[in-house]
Amino acid sequence: MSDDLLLSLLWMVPLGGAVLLLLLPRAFVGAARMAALGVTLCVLCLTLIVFVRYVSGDQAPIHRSLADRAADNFLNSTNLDQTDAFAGFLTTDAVQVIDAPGDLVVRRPWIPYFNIQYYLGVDGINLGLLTLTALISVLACLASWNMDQHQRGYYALFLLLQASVMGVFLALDLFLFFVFFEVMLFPMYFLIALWGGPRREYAAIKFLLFTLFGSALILIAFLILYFWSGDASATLAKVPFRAHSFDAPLIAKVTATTSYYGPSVQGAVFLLLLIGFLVKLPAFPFHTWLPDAHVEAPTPISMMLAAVLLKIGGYGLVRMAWPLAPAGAYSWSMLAAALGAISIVYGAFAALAQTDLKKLVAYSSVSHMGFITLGLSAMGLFSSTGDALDPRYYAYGVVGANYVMLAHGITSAGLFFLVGVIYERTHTRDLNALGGLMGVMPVCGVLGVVIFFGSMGLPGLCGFIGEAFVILSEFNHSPWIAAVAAFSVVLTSGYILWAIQRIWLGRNSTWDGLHDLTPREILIVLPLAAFTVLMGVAPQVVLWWMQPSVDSLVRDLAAAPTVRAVHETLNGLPSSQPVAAERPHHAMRGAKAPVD
Amino acid sequence: MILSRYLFIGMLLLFAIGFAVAPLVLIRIIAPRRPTPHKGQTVECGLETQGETWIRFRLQYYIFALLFVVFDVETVFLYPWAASYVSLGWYAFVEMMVFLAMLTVGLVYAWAIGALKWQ
Amino acid sequence: MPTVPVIPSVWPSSSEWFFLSPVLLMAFWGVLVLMLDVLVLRNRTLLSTRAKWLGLTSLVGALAALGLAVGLLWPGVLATDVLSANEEFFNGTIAFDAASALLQVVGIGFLVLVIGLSMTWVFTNEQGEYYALLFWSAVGMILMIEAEEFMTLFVALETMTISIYILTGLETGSKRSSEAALKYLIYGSAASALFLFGLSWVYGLTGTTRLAAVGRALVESRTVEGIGGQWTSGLALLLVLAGFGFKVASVPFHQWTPDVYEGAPAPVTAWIASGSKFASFIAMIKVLMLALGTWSVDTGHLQSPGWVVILSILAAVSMTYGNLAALGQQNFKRMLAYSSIAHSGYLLVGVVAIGVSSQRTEATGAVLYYLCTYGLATLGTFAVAAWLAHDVGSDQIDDLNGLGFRRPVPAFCLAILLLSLIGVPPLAGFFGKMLMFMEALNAGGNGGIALTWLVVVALLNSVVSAFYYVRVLKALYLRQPGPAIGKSFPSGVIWTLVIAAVATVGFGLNPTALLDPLGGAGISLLTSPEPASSGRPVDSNGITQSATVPENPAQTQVPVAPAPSASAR
Repeated sequence: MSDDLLLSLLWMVPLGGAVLLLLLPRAFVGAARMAALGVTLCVLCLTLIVFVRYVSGDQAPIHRSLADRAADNFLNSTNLDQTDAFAGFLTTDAVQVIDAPGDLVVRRPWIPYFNIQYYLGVDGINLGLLTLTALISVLACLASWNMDQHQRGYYALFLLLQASVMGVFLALDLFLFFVFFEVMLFPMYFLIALWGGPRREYAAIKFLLFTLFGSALILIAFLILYFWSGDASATLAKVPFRAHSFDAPLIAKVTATTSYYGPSVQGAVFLLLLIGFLVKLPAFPFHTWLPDAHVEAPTPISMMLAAVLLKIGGYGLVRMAWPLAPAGAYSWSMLAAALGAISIVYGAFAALAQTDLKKLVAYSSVSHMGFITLGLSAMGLFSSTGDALDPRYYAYGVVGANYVMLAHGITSAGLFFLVGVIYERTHTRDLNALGGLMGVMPVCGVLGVVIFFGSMGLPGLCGFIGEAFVILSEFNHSPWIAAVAAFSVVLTSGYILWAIQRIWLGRNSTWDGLHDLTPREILIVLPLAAFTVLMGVAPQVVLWWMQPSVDSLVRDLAAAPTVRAVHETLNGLPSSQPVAAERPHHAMRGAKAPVD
Repeated sequence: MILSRYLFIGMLLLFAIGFAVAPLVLIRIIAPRRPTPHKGQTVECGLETQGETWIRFRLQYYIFALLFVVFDVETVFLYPWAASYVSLGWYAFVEMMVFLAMLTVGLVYAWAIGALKWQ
Repeated sequence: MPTVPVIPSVWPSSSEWFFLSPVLLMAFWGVLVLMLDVLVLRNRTLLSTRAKWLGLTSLVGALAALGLAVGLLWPGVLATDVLSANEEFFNGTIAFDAASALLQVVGIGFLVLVIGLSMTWVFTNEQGEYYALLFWSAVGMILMIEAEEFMTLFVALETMTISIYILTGLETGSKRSSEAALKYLIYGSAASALFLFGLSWVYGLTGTTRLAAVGRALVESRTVEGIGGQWTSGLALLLVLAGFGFKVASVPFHQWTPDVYEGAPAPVTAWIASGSKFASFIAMIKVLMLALGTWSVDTGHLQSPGWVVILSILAAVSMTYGNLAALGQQNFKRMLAYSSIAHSGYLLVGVVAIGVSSQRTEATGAVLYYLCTYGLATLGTFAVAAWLAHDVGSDQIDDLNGLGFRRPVPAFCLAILLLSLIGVPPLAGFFGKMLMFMEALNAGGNGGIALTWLVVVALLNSVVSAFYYVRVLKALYLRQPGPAIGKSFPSGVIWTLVIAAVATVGFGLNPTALLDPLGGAGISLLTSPEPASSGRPVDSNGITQSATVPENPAQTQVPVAPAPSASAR
């Protein structure tokens, strides 16, 4: 299977599944869940094929950075010179596709006039998230087994959601990314608003408007990147690039090697992207939609929301906000780090105060997502004594952030599922009313405690690794913020242990006779618990394919001339950059005389 | 420059206004004023007015008036065309026939919906 | 004194008539339908039978016109040299180019859908008049799109508007309909008067009514003494903009919109929102770009900012006002009316984009794309509004409750259209907005960030608009079915909805399919026909070289034959 087809199938299969489910005759409605499960399993298999193809063999993509692989795949138009490193295409002519097979990058023209491409690619950063999405989708599909209301619509929307999330993680073209990002909103809206709890409509519209607001900011940032015509004051070398491109790796490359996007425009772009993705993440001032959405969403959708959709915010930060505007990120790193730390502590405090189990888990998500922001903004790029570039510690932070995404994806899915199981049996989520469940549901209790501990960050379980990396890295950036974040460990232990105590421990005769997990439920929880342990005791299972990509990302980002310029300005160092300024030439744009 | 070009129009305007205003002023100046109740009555074409002055006309008056104006204007167009019929040739003839056909259609329509029947 | 140009023939050739054949057919068909009604059917048959036959006849006529228009697009039907923009067509009053040929297909397409929609219900006793007026307003619309000259433009515009005034009031037994018609008539007449007054100022300043000649004269007026009147130019511009502002329903000329949209029979509302808006925007683009291009920025002649600034402000205010006002509406038609004001705002961003973009033809293509897709989406949504009004007897959003479960197909189509109106990718509405906004940012020369504020306002407005559109979605899918739901959907509504939804999705997934031809139309739309007969040298910018002699109105306006006996046509 060519990689074009393989990567496209990752989102097309669930989309096709969604359409087929909608067309399913009424008589076969009962088969909807089987069909949906089949589709998600199929996607999981495809993801595993991608995984194997990514890591195995001498020529495997793991050995080359995404940017290099992307550069092998380019679009050529007949009237443009393609020799430049920064060449784009901007033409209404026929476009010739140069494709290097087997490198897991797909590139086709989509709307040639605006340089909009159908552009997908896989590297260590999104590979984990794709796998996570495929896995959680299967589990969430299993968790929806008892959903008997409007089955066709439910599973169709569910698959549409999966398709758009896969698309978001795959897309390398900013425009394509945005399309998938927006498409995701509406299945989610309906899934919450139709199958949710009593205040579902309020929660759904809140989710929708928050995210739309964020996405408007993201779109503005993309458009600024697209239309920026070169920073006159900061352009220190001739840059053969004339924006008009939504090509994320290309723009990242431009920011990494030139001053085409000056520090000020990068600052604006970064802030827009930061806010846009923090809404989605969510982080402290923009998080209020999350508890509502989680509380009202049905269990499988909560799983998807926590495990996968929140990661889109994090992924956006990793893939877009930081690489596309490194200097902006560097100048605002303290703000971002502070927001991360505040989210961590605030989320933890808020979780402590909850009596609703689902709200507790939701706020713990806010807290954990803070580690992503914090890890990414731990930009201690330069050695403390001088201006020598030393991004090693920052790489820890970014690896940590990515690890937290996967770990939280595993544990939060498990937590929300268990909350759903408990609610289904006891019809309450009130922590004060629960208690003593360990006695009646021992299997559930054991697996649940493992996952709870994993979420808490107990060493040896998955939550610990990422958070340790992040805090370690942040100490190199700002010890004070790191100290605050580290303090949250106490709070996290507090609310998790207290929750465990209030759910499972003690005696409570009210719950006598509740049956333990069914085989189906065990089938859902067991993989999650297994991953919780596996990723805790053997982080290398993940790190060995994730690290190369993160390293190359950090290397590029840290070497950006604009980052150095910001660093020098901030610390009053003498400018090391040449003085000769030259405007970028605009040869990339085909010379079209205006008609009038 | 522009002023001198428009001077003629300005003078014409003044003359027109003067033409209307002058008799009124003249009457005011030279006519003797001896009002009697009989003279103070409203006069309309020599008949005594009956009822309100502001009466409502039947809507059909307007339709008739409109039709009349349409055919009046038609005649205005027909005269210059007829006058230069020979030099304009067939094309103009066809055009005028189309124009007349349109008006005829309008008349037929008005007829058919009974707009011409006085009710 | 320059020599009087010799015009070889004042009469249009047969190919010119052929080009106009769809319009002529529609004008004739209007008469035919009317006569069929008053002479044959009226007083002899039941109203429903009459309505059925007249509707069918009209549909046949509209489809025939559509066929003719599509046929004209067929390669080889019109010789390419005939279709070049430099041809004197009807003495330069009508554009005889790819843009006209393509856009009239779109316009007639809208007409076909509106007729299909109108056939569904019998809401007026004046069946013959109704269809005839639909045809004639379409004639005005298409001539307006094609007009290259102020008088033709104005007459076409009035043909369209006056027909629509009457159409608005045709619903039998509805006081709201009559009220709406009266309001529309009064506001509209005032706006037309202002517009005409503005045109007369432009004529006074330039001595010509042809768009291209006005454009040239205004360019020349920088050097010619006496023509570039200071405040007169500014006033003329404002008056023209006021006229167009009324037609496209932008703030502050929008007051008629909610009442007319609500009061008019729903198919007529659909026609106003799609066809009339479509034609008005295109005429606006032509006038602003071809004739008043010089006034896009203040060159010291205007005593006011150029139309780019004025329209930017109007756009921002229209979007914000329309969206905020729509938030509070419970009435489906009124909500759509306010949303249409907001969409006018978005479209004005596109018009501004044409003024500033370094890629004007592509910007025009983007606006045309938006007009086409928005027109279709509006037709679809108003089809539902019509269904509500006629079959349910209500206009409230609440009456759509639960439609998604009882009537999945129309509800799903409506949902798609609403999502497209919000601007959700990958639907056509998203691409339309996106492309226009991108072109607005695509300003050459000033760093591309000049109009960022406008685009930011527009994007935030899209978020606001989501709120009220989602209320409809909520009614469709989140509410328990109400009593209205028992009513079935007539096939006219279903067809309109399905066509609109399929087009919305199709042109969304593959926008290039529509953008390419429309971009091509954009080229010829922004190219004015050169007076082939004048024989004056023309430089590459289309500016006549003999700039010292201002154009004598008599030469451009009235083709004068050399023989003394010949008279002007």
